[in-house]
Amino acid sequence: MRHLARPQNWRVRHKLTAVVLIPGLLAGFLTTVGLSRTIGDADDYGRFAALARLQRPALGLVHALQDERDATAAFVAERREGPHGGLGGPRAAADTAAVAYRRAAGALDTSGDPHLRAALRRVAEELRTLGGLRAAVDEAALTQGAIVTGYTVMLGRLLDLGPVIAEHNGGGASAQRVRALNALSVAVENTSRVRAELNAVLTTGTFLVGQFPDFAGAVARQQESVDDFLATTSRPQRTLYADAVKGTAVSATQAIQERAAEQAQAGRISIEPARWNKVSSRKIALMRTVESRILDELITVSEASHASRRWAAWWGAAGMLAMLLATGWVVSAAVRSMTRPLKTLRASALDVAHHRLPEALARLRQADADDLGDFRATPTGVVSGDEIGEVARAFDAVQNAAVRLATDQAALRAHINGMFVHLSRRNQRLVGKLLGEIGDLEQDEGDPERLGRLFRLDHLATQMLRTDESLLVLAGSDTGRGWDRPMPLSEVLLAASAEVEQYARIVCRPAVEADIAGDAVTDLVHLLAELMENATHFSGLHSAVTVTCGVTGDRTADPVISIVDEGVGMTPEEMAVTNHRLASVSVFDPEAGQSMGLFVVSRLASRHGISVTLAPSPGHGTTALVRLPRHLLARLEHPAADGPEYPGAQHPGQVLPPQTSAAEPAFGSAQDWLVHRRFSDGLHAAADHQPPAVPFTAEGKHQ
Amino acid sequence: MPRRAAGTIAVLCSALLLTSACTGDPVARPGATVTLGFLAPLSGPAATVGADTRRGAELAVKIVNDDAAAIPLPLGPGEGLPRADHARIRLLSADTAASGTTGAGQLERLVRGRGAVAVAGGYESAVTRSAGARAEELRIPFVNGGSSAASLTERGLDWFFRTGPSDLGYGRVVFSLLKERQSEGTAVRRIAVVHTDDQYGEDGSGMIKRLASQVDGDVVADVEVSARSTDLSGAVAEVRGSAPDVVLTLLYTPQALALSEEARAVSYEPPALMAFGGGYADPAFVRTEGGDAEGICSRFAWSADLATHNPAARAVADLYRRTYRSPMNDDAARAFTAVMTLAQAVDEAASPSPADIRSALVNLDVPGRDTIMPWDGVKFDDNHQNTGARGVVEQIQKGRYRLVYPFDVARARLRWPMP
Repeated sequence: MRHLARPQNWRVRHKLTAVVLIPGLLAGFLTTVGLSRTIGDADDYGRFAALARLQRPALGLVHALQDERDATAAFVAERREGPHGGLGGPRAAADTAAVAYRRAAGALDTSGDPHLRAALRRVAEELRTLGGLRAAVDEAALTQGAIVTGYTVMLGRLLDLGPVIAEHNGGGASAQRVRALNALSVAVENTSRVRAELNAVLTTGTFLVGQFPDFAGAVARQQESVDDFLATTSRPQRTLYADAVKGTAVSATQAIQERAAEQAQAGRISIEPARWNKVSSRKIALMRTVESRILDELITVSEASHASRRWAAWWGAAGMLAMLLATGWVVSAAVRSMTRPLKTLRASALDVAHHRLPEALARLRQADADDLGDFRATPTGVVSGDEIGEVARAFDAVQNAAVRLATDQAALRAHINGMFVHLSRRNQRLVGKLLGEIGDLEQDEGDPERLGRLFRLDHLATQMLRTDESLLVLAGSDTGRGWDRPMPLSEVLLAASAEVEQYARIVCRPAVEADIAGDAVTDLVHLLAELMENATHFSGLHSAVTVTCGVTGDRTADPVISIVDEGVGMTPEEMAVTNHRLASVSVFDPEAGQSMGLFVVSRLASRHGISVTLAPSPGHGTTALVRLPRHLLARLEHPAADGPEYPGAQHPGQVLPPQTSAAEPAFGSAQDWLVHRRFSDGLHAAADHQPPAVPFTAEGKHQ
Repeated sequence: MPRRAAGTIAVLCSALLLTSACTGDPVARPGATVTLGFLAPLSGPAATVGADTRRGAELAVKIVNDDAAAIPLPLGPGEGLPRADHARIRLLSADTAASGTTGAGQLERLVRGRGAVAVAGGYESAVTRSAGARAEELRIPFVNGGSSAASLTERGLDWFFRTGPSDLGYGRVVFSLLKERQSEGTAVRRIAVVHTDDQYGEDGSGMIKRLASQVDGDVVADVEVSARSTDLSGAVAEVRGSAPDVVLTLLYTPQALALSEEARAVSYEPPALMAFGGGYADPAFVRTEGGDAEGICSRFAWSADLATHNPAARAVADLYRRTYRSPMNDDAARAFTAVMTLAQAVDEAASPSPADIRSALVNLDVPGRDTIMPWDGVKFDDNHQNTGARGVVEQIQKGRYRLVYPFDVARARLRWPMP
């Protein structure tokens, strides 16, 4: 896994994903934050709109309680001697307004809004005291000041809802209107308190001690709150206020206030309370008209803002989703446009590397260059015009160059093979002539010593002939000799041993009787001769090489010829390499030239389906195992379990003849084979010579 | 020091700090007790008033500590102080013996010797002044309910609070009555003042002189008597000689009794006598004078007549009567309200720290319906004077005080001139 920590080891898909991931995540995060804010704003605006709607019944209740308070103040100031029925109307209106308010407040969701919940709770608590306050009025249980204070506290709790609403987020336009509304509500309340106070004063007929400063303070607060409203509000709202709160009632209200102040020190104030109540109530009604208009604007604007934000949230969410989908599609398409050609290119390269090029090279090794004339490199199939397509086309060019190189090499090898064949044929003919001359000398020679030397020359020339044939095999050509009838296996072994330089060290012990098919005889003899040559070459000069042939296991198994030497043997690694070469007939390698015999063996074995393997000998040395397939056998008889061994096969250089054979014996000794090999038709290129009388004994020794 | 040992010590110190931080104030522990002091003239000439104030204070503590479900006050239902984990209040009363020095000493003893975190009470304004000064030194909240000298809350004290009306507040209600009488044609221009020579009397006298202009009146006699004197013959003669329309008094019980006795002796009966509390509010005065006290008016902060219509006041008055077998009066009600106000501040503070209690007092806002007083409520202004405190005027009719002013809540018609 550690390698994956390095970017150069990442897959292209992952690299592209990584490139897109960070900016994608950042964009997604920012978009999500923005969308969350929009959704949050939409929720806030919705809550704000709901609170703005609550203000309608809340302000309705405020107005009703103000009217009740002011009427109550007048009633109490009259020492409760006035018409009590005058309170019925305001109280009923307040009760109706309280019901409407409670219904609206109860429907409001206050979860997650502790300030609002607390404000509503305080209002509810105060409203619960209304009954007790009225009872105190009726029973004269509280002073006028305490009663008015009770109402004023209740109204204060209701007016506290305004600032609580202003704490919420409802957008700039809504915020301005709620500020204006709150300021005007305070102004209306202060105007109402002035009405109540002067009501009480005028009913009493005089300012009591300490009452005038309170009245003056109330008037000052009233004017200050109106100024605050005008400072808070917009120009259209100021215009609205100026147009609405004007007229005779407003002027009269101001005039009465001033007259009352002027008469503060007088024993009796000469102002009719009813007139004051009428004009001040009219002024308050005008102010409430403006308040109602601003409230309507607030509700309209807040609901519009909520709807706008909600739509923005929806469109934002849809846009974000569309953007994510589009981005995902583009990224996916870009990744696919790179990974798919790369995958195709990779598959093509692997196919070329593992299959097509090796197959082509194998064909080049095994076939003539002309056979590959139609061989063309298969394009990778990547047709894009980008850099990947260019790489694919470059790879196609490399592939074509490799094929051309292999073709050139095949042509060169075919040319070299042709030279080998040509030279081998020439040498074969010369050696054949040499053998013919030696044969003629042998026929005329009577001196045994000289005859023996001629025989050694003859033997060496035969080996030269086998070398030529090996060159022909290496060049992929026919050796030019053949055998047209089955030959007993024992004779094949004898013939093979006869072609080995140190044939005298070879002891053959065939345990089975078999006849080798005629078309395989010469190649099998060549193959075995090469193996025996190796065995004698890589073992001591005085050690024997034992050749046996038997069948292991059941009788259906193929017969196996074992060539056992007593040499130094091979290491397991060398053994494995050699066996690999024996099994891989078409594989050339730099060391093939140094083990030409094994390559010849491999070629010959491959030609007839013969299996040749090397194995360690039981003691020391190496055993070559040659498994003969059934199709090479013209006949096979297994010896009886207690069958006699070959009595003559007790010494090196001896080969026992087969006891019984369907095939006619071709020769009786090694020398017979050499003679026969030299002059037989199809066995020798110089077929114009006749085989001489065989001068060998049955033991294969020269006489 | 090895590094491992240093690390262990650091961890232990952090754990100790964390534990101490989580422990919090003692009040937060269940079963904790907050000690409050209470000053009253339990001996001396105003001993009867002192006894009444102590009963009112103890009744307030009893209502707070017990589960007084029948009392519709904020600390009535449930035991202890709910926001202070139901801590209970222990009230320690101390006798001021009508002495400023004693009162200051008692306050210091309560704080330093008995562990009081705040003090309530005080009757005589002079004693309250001294005790208030000592509370200022000790930085201990002192909530006064019974002293009315306006100067007490005009000295810029940080730790002194007054729940009851000041003389100015009382003066306003008295002079409002006079003004209303005047608007009805009654002559109230000639005003005679008889007052003690202490803080209470002098402040009251000054206030009367200032407010006299409200009724376009004149102070035709300003008679000062010793707060320890019981011979007021000279004072009566001086008043009689000025022929006042109304006599206003600021006297303690002995002087009040002496004034009445001397007036009877010389057969002088002013058209109207209106007292600014003091001895005239002492039930002992009414009991002693009997029918001779008929028609005397006094200002009060509490009214038994109004209490019958106020559910909380009625319940407390009934409990008071059952507990002490005597009717609740103005002094007891004011003491009750002072202690209850202090208890509410401790509850709001949820801490026994004097500074926290003071802060809670500054921010306290108790509506009138949550008190037993006919007030707008309890809310202190910048001078720590309760802006919601209001006064009433009662007149002795048929042997007991009856509410006669404000007229809108009067339970009896003002008899003018005095019978």
